[in-house]
Amino acid sequence: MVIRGLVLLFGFQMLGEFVSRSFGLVIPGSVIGLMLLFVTFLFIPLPESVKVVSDHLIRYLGVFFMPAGVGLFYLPQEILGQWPALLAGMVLGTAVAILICALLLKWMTKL
Amino acid sequence: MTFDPAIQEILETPLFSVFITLLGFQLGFMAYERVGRKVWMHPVLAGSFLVAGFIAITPMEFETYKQGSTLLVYFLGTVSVALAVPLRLELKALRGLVIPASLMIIVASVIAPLSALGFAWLFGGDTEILVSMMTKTVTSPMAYGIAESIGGIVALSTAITVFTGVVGALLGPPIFKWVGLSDDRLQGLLLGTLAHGVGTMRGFEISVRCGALAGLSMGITGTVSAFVLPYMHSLLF
Repeated sequence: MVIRGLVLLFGFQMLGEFVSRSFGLVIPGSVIGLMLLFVTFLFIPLPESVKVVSDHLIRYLGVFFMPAGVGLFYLPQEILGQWPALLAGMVLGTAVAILICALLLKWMTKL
Repeated sequence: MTFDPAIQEILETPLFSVFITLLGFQLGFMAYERVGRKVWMHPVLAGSFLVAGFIAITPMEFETYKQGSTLLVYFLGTVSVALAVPLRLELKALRGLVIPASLMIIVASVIAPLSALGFAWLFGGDTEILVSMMTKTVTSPMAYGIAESIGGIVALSTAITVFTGVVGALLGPPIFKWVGLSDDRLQGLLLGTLAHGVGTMRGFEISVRCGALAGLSMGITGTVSAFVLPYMHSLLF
């Protein structure tokens, strides 16, 4: 069951890679794979195997971010030296963007 | 510190890189549960810190880790594909929200890089940092490709991206409360748009449909950004 689900996920990822490469698109293959999987199962019922595997993978999504997270500690010295700019961009920049978008969404939906 | 040659050899295999990543995440996850799921103890943050610390005190090189853990980075693409599933299952939740969600995502893909860029510039960041800042709200597998095409430092971009996700997941809920945004569908859309994968993880803790909509908006934000960012880059730099 797990293998069947993985075969389908890898298959769609590969299909996405193929489309992305053969048309020279900026959108990565995995995202095209996502769209193809989504569209395919709009028309046919979603197999239980894909549900089970996806559920587990998504729950532990964070594991796959770890290499990039570790990389944060090993950036070149001249970049780490600019930590106030990095921190300001990430913290203040993100806070302002969330605030603006939250207000916009609230105003548009009246919820 | 010196080690037995056999241990030294094992440290250099990709197997070991994957092992300490999983171990670091597991320990981070236990700490996260222990403090009652506070985002500042996010498993990605705590786990990365542990792994980085391990590399610092043992003879293992960061380069070795980076190459060994490529395996996991590849798998990130597969997990992105898996996000189609909750999206398909929770499609109903999007009813009546298509237009506001689309508009918000378009606005966000312009405002998020600009505000990050603006603050980094105010605090004296140089061009390399500013450019690498632009991809910060885009999910890692996509940020990778976009950063490459606009000439950011890929390692810096992906690190900034992950940290932004943690910051977004941390600041999101208090901001929602502050502005009185209580609908879990809207919270999901915002988390996915501005805090990509980490925000999506957070979303699934709020509710399944919150997480599903976060996954959806994460995918769309990445796609919109793939078009917006190269254009913005050519205007600004």
